[in-house]
Amino acid sequence: MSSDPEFPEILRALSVPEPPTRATLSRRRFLAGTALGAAGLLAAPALLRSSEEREAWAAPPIGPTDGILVLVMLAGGNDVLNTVVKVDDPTYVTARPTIALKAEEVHPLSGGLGLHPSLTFLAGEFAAERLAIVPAAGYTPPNLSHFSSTKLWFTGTGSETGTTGWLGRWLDGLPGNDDVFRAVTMGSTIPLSLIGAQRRATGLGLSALDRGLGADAQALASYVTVGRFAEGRTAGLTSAVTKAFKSVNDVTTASAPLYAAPTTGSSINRQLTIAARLLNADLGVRVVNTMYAGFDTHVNQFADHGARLKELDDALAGFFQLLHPRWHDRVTVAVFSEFGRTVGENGSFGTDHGAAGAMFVLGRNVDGGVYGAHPLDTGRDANGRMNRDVDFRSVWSNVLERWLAADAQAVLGARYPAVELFKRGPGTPEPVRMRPAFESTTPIRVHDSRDGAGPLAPGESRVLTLAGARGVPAGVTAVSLNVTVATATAPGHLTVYPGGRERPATSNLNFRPGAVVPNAVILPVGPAGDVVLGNSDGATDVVVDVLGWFVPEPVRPEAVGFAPVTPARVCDSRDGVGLRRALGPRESAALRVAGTAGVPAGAGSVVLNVTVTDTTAPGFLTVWDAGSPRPLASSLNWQRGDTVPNLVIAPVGTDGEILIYNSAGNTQVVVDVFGYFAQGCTATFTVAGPRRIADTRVGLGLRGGRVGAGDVVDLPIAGLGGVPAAAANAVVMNVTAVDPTAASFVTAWPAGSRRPWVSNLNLVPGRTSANLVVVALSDSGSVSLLNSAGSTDLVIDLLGWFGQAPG
Amino acid sequence: MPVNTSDAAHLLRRAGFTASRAQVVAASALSLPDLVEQVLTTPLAPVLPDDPAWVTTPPPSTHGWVPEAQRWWLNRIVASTTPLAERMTWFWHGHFATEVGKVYNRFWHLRMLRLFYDQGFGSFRNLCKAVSVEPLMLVYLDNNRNVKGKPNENFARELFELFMLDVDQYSQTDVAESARAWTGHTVVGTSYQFVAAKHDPAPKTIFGTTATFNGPAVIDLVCDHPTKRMTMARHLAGKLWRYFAGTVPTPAVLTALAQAFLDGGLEVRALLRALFNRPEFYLPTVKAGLLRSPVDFVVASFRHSGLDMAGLSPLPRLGPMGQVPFSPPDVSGWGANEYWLATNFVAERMAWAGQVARRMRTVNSFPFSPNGKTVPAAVAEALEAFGVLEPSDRTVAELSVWLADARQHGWDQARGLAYLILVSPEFQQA
Repeated sequence: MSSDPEFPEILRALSVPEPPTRATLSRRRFLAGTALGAAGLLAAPALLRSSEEREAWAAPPIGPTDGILVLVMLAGGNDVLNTVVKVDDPTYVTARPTIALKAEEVHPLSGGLGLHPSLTFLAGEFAAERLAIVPAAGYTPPNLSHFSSTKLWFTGTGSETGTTGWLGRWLDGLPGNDDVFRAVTMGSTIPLSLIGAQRRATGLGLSALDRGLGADAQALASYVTVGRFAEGRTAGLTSAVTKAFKSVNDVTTASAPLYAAPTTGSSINRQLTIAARLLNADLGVRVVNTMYAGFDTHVNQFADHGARLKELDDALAGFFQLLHPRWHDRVTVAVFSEFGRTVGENGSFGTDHGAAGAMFVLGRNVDGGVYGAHPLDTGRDANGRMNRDVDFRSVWSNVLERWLAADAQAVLGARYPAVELFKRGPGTPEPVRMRPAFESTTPIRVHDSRDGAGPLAPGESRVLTLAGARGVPAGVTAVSLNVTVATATAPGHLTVYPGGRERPATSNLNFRPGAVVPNAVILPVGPAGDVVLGNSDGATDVVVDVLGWFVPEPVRPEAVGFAPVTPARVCDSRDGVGLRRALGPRESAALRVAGTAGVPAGAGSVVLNVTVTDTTAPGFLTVWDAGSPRPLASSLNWQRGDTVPNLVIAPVGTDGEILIYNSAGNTQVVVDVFGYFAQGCTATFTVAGPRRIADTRVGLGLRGGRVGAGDVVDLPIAGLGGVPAAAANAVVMNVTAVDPTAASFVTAWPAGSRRPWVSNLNLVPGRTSANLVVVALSDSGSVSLLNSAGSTDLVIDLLGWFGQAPG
Repeated sequence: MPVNTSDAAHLLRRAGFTASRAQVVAASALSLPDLVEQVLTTPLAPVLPDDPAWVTTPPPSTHGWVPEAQRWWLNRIVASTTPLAERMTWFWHGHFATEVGKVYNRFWHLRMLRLFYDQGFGSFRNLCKAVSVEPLMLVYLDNNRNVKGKPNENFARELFELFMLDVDQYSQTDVAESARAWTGHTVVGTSYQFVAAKHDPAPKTIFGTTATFNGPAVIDLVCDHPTKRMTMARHLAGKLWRYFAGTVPTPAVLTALAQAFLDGGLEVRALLRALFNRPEFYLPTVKAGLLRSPVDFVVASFRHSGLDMAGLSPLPRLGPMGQVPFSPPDVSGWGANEYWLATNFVAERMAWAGQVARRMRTVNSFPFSPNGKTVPAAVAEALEAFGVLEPSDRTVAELSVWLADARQHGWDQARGLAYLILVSPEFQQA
């Protein structure tokens, strides 16, 4: 049973009537639009309130897939042989008579290696496969001077003479303004690594800045004047000096909240504490640099080195504890040193400068393990120093390409042998496996706001505890719901999301005044077994029915895995297929759904898209398993004359049949089947997202703008948002049509196969509507979508996938 | 031909810490070469008290003497009538850097300071040799543990890399062999001693020469070596140029200064004479080319404000500004210019300026008075009082706007002007 999923932040909310574009989003709107209530984040107003002049000091917000790098340099030359210990190597033991570590002292890694006893947290990260160790990193030929070697690490070009560093050049290549917070160094001096030709990092100290005169009107006016000294300066040093004074103003305002609480412990602990607060503050930081001195252990190494490593380990543990979970899949920490040390100890119970040294790369999305040979096995150079195995620039290249989305060859000036340190890209959450089973149920009405709780207010977030109540077992990990809104006072949208999380910027349901609108939702529950209904604008009543749930262990023998089918129409009452004719008011009819259309006779439940059309009166459908009494639940609602679809996961009853009940008027019913759950199926459901994977309004995922009459668009899905290319065979996504121009329908099916005669979404001119879609993927992991008439924008949010979970 | 006032002011400020209008006027009566001679021959070996209080009085703890020593030294510098000696002592303090955090013997630190004051203008060869047998240096760079059979390369490496030659001007073999040459030069008790039993007497090959080098003989080797001596001269010339001019020397300047150093028998004074006489030293890029280091800034603020360090200690600010006497960040000393422009370093300068301005108000002592003057006149007088003799139009304009504002609102004009001028580019970059 794995942990709760992490939801990546998505920057646009689907909000009728205003379709936002990336370009128009500004820092202030972003802060205003997201809920910053979670602990550890800073109150947005404090950052924005100031009577001083301000420029565009704040970096644009980080995108959901922008990686963040935290660097920790161990200055002085960290002794690799006592950090990544090859315990039983006879050379190690004989060369270090007093300072060698013993096998029983170290944390075991793999392959006869161990970690220094001080590195408890890192040992745990290695066991959790989140720590990559490169034991023999370096460059050839080695340079044993602190200054030269540090310079070589910082420039990244193989030359010591250079005025820019590798991350400085990366900074130069970023779009946007001179964002003061794009890269931050938590020390006093800006290291060369973070200095580019045009841009450099900002230095933040361990305590708040004091500008000398307090904060009354006279003081503030003085600070403004100091900033204005920078106007019109073109000469090199004068320009730099006056700009530096000016940026003190900007940084002071923005960073004051970071120091509201004290920091304690070693210097590296204090630096990483501020770093975590800084990242939690979401100021657009992509790189944070820290440095810890004290590793130049020429004399009396054993105790000193152990103490420094313990301080480092504690600081790293504290950092990840303080870092808000929303950042965990976007932050990677890299630890390095300018070189390692000698094989043997010197006459002062220490070691002298060496060549190869260890690098650590750790984070949620790092592919843990040991990369390359241990330095005791790489041979010696002419000076007796251990040769490197992996060039450190291979590591930086991989970080640049995979984590910072950069062209590594352009930044470093050369190509280096590849090393692949990441198992997922930034912003891709660890997959959550719901295994092995889905249990569907006769629909259970768990919430009806008309029964006393009252309508959902504008902006309200209402928590519903589902697990352990009204027949939903305790311990369910995810649920399948039908959510219906009615009596909305203004157009808006509803977001349904797990408890204990921030509201994501996706939507599940769009509604408008005077309509009753349903949609199906499949989502995990929060740690308390709860989900949250998040309303946008307008008050609205809301009704929630539970259609099924996912459990870690099956409770009932019929709980099962999923298999998609070639989509097929099993019912069209307009043609007498499935149902002979339209359903009359308060009429029920049976429909065979198992033992037909590819669904085996013993299937436990089916995934259907149910559409009503030619409706003569406002009403609702209830779909349930034949042989059970009709539940008080609705699967579908409509207004008079509407054509409305909804995804329904229905339990299969006696004789492989479901029952469909129509509440009012005459209603034509169309039913398409997309898959089923049955014993013997091994495909499990994995939550991935919610994540917006397509938006024709901004060219995300689907380029080419609005989808026209008869147009078919192909959407590659495998590889996005954690959907594995080979293993996934179907996806669950919420498809929204925005501003359609004509009455139309949208069909989704596996790309490359013949388009089936089914529909997933029905469009009404000018009305934005959504439906949950479960569709199989083609072998290449793609889905095709067709719009039948007029033109429409499509927005697609990925919710999860079905497939063979490994192992 | 008399030197122009701008050049005179520039030389006086760089060779010292501050220059008042009166000093500049007097200096402008001389030709440049004569002014340089005057600057160079102002008594350069000031009397150092034999045993300042922080040496004689046992400190409360191992490092307890340090703040008193820092105060003593800074006071010397502020009050000094031989500022070039202070500037050069400070230069050597950063060049032959040691850290009190590692070696805390106060006698040793005083000895080293004395050495810089006494020998800082003379033969660089002799200075190097003297430094290399100072207990402070021997212990700081672990040469006291450099013994036959188990060489410790720390001192030998830094001697070549930092003190004499610069990075990559030697090979690892040269360092290893030199380390062997320095074996046995150690500290016994609290004094330097050469212990023959710990010395490796076998021949060493350094820079292509094989001999039984012993300690300071390595320094002679470099100073007399046909090519390494020029490397050394260029290294020192470049460092001193950057220290006084702030800019990177052009190849022509570097070559000329290095040659003058060699021609002058490696006498530091000869190098300085050539440096201060270079026309390039007086280019506008050089005049605007050096950001006052934290110590320079603090000293200048005391000299112009007239404040007494007893009433306002700069010690708590110097560290956060990035520079503490006796405590460089590492053996390479401090950097310059952009090195000081980290945001928190710069903020500390503002904080210090605020403290100075507020202290001036507390003791009601300003070297200027805005009252009863027009805005332009008040601004000009205040700038002059802080030694800003050639303010930029932008600085004048902004100060004027602020002062007009202050008059309207009834703000503290003198305090405000003092603060703003202290953080103005002209005062920061003198």
